Amino acid sequence: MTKVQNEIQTPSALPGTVPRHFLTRTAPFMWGGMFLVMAAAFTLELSLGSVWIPLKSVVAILLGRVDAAEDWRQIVLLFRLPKALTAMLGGAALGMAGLMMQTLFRNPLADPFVLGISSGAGLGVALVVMAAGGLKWNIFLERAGLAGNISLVLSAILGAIAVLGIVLGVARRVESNLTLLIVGLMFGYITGAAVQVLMQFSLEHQMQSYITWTFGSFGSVTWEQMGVFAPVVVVGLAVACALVKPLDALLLGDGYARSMGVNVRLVRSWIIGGASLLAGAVTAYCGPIGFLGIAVPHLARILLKTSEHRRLVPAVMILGATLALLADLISQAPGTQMALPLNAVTALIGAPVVIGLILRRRHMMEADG
Amino acid sequence: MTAEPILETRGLAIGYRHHRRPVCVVAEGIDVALPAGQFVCLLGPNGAGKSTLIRTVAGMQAPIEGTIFIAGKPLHDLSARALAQRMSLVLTQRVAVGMMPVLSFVALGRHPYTNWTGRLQREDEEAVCRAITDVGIESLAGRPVCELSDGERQKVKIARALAQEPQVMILDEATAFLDLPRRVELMSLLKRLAHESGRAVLLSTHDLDLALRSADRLWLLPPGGPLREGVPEDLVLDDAFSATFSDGAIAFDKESGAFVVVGREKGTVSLHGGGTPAMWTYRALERAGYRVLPEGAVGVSVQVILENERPVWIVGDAEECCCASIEEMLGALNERLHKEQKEAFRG
Repeated sequence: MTKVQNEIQTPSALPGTVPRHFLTRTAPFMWGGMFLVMAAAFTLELSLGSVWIPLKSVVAILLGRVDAAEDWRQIVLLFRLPKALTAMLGGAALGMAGLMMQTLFRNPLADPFVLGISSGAGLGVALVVMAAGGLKWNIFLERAGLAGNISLVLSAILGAIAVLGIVLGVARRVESNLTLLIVGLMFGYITGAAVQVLMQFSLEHQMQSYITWTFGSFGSVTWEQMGVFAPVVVVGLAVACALVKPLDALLLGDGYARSMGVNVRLVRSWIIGGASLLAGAVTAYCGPIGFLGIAVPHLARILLKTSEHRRLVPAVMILGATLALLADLISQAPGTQMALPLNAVTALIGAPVVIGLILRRRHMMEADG
Repeated sequence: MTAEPILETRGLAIGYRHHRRPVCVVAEGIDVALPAGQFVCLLGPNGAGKSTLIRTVAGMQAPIEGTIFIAGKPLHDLSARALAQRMSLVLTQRVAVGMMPVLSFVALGRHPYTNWTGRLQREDEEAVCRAITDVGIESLAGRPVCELSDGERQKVKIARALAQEPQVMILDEATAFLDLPRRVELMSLLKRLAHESGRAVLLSTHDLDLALRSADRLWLLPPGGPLREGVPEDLVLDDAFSATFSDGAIAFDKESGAFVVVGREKGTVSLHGGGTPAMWTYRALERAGYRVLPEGAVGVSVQVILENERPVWIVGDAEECCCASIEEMLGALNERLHKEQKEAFRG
């Protein structure tokens, strides 16, 4: 052991001037507030839509009482509940993937998209869907069954890992975050181009289904698919939770992290793996949903006024779930019969957040110059 | 040397291995020891390989040849965690931790001791508090790191390294970008930390003057090596200093312990007088390019006297010219020089 210092102060000699922040926690109000908003959004998600179902009935249906109207039961249990769960899991997953990317690359503008993970996942999906032949996106998901579902998720994740792996390979050579971002963006374009080439050779309705997929939606996950989607996301989130300590160390950069006993190479692989799992699964089932990945971690930092992952990781899950629910609520345009594309809504929320962050730069992670 | 070396290198060659290119050796034959409880500065001109040496002994870069021993064990046999418990670093790169409060930042130094959740035990909290008091940043503990000045930030980084409770602390150019008072403060802090805690502290720096004054030992790394090591004053008398840093335009002056610009001399001046005004007159003359000789020697005489508590400069012997400031004195000297040159030209 390393007790090299000659004078070891007794605990009683600890200076009173050092505030014991170890014991104080971030305001419980903040956590309580975040939970409340999430719960409210969840309830609204179940109650609002093309048909308005009163809260009392929603609760009754969830509790399994039979006195609720059968068609309402169908709507809540078969459509709205899986959709709400998908939104929560998806939002948490995207936020977490964004947080891991921002920490790994020490870049406040990193997210699953900018670095090409989502584009890679998209390419994987496009390959599977278009290779599978003349099926509509939703129908494909429905008919594919468990094996098909797993293969779809797998291809999205593999696509994500492939692109991120290339980006990281480049990262090892260039060391500059800006260069890396540009490389990631370029890979985004390349995979986009590959998808376009694929579309050129595909049938009209395949194209149509692919375009619908790019709009993004939490509504296409059935209970059966949830059996694949939820475990994959939960595993990804668990990986993130297990990485809290090395993620904190990585805030200081690779050199410091190594000097603090972190096996940087191993941790980096786990981060990439976890982020690819999360972004890949969401992209496969919900489409390439933008902005949540970049905006949620920043929102968490601002609300909690910290960059410690011990607090950010749970906050990102709650906030990601909440924002995704809210975005989905808005995209349904309650009270009307029309629906907005989900991606348009997340962009409408996310873009101002990002602009505001850039203008208040010190709240960001301070991009390394 | 009575103290047991904490860090030791044997037959160390440092440099870079590039893919598909010959190995580039920056310096070789480095056999040096870092004793416990001592503050050692690594000096060397730009490009001599200071950073490479620091990175190599810190285990961030593999040596080309030779071995580094940490408390008797080869560095590359230690696990990352074991190494982190014995050695901590302060690097040049900017830490971009954003909104993290200083206390949490310093607590990051406990990573090699905590379990996978990173939860701090009582002894961890104590180590963090001790590090904060040792560095004297109690008043900063609650502030976010991103709001600190460069000097404060540097201290916080040192506190973090200290919280790691290492046997050896290695700092790469930790005094760069700071103003002189801050540099002096930091150097004396590091020296105090080394002496009081029994840790070895190695700092690479460009601050020759401060290093000469505060380091217990110096490592001098001239371009191409070999590394010279010893007590600062010995190295000065040995001419190791001049050998390391001298080149055509700059020479190390043993008398003053500072570097002088080797340039064309404007003329010779003999300086009379003493005290602080004379010292600054000396520096002004030197800066203006005059060769300054002690009293009684040849050349134009410049006399510093005190008149009503204020210094006054008298230039020349025959046609005495009285100046109220160094600026005037330099002007008068310049004029004289011009006149002499003109006369020499006519004659």
